[in-house]
Amino acid sequence: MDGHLDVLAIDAVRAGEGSPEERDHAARCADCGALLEGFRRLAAGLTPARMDVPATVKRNVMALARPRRAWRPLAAAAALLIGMAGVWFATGLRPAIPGDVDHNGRVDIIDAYALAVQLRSGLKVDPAYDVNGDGKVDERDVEEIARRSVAIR
Amino acid sequence: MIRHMDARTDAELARALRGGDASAFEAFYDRYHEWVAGLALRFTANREDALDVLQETFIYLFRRSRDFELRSQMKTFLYPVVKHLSLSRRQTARRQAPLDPRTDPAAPPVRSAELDSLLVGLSEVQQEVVLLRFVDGLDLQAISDALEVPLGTVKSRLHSALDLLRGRTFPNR
Repeated sequence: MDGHLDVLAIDAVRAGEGSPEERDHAARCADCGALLEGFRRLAAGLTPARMDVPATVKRNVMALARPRRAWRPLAAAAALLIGMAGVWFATGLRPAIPGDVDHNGRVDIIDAYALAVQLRSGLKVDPAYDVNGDGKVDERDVEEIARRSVAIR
Repeated sequence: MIRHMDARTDAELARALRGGDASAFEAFYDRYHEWVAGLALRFTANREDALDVLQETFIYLFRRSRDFELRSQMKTFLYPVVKHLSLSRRQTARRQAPLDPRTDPAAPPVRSAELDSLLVGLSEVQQEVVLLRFVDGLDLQAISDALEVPLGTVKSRLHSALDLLRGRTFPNR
């Protein structure tokens, strides 16, 4: 091998991808060895400290992927919905306050969170939650509910 | 309870995931969540945003699971997803706080001062290649796949970046 290694070849040695000849040259050549050491220090300097990820993130994500037991959850959900619809129409308990997703009589940040969760779940969302009146229920409605929750307080 | 890492390869996990195997999804999470979180933090410079992006990334993977094909490395699949979700988050933040320069989606990713000092003088595309190479440990072909640019472009960007960096001294760490 003539002369010094190219920077890409030195980087390949650093990454453990260099050929035996390149590794041998880097070990023997002071200039290339110094550059290799510089690249190793750069890699160490760029590598961030490990970020702790709370267990709740995994729980949220894995809740999506749990195997579903065929008909039972669907049947339970359907029964619940039918019951709620019955109460809804029988008693006229439609939310008096637009954005009151959890029907507790006030609009707060929990309503924004509840709607965000519903949207993320991919399930059909009640069109009544179109609080900004743009004809669809999406993240903008979440933002609008969050804004109103602050405004009301 | 001690959980043992799933011994299956990424390709095997991808096949299992297509078949509806929830344990394959969990194995992907266990294997890549720290990398995804770190990458998201690099793009957003905000821990809470990074955790949200982490969650959204795996929700996206789950939604794609039925037709998920691993054509290259898992990181090359995840990289554009994390990048896109991070930039979207910045766009949302920009709508809420238009005066915050951190939230301008046209601006380069926000980086720590330490990172900035090490990479000063490099263009945005050069920095991206260097970080994928030096921090994420991707080989050049994987970087090409992740960025969807030709391999020759990756080599050229890395070569010019390393030429700029070669004259500098970096502290021992």
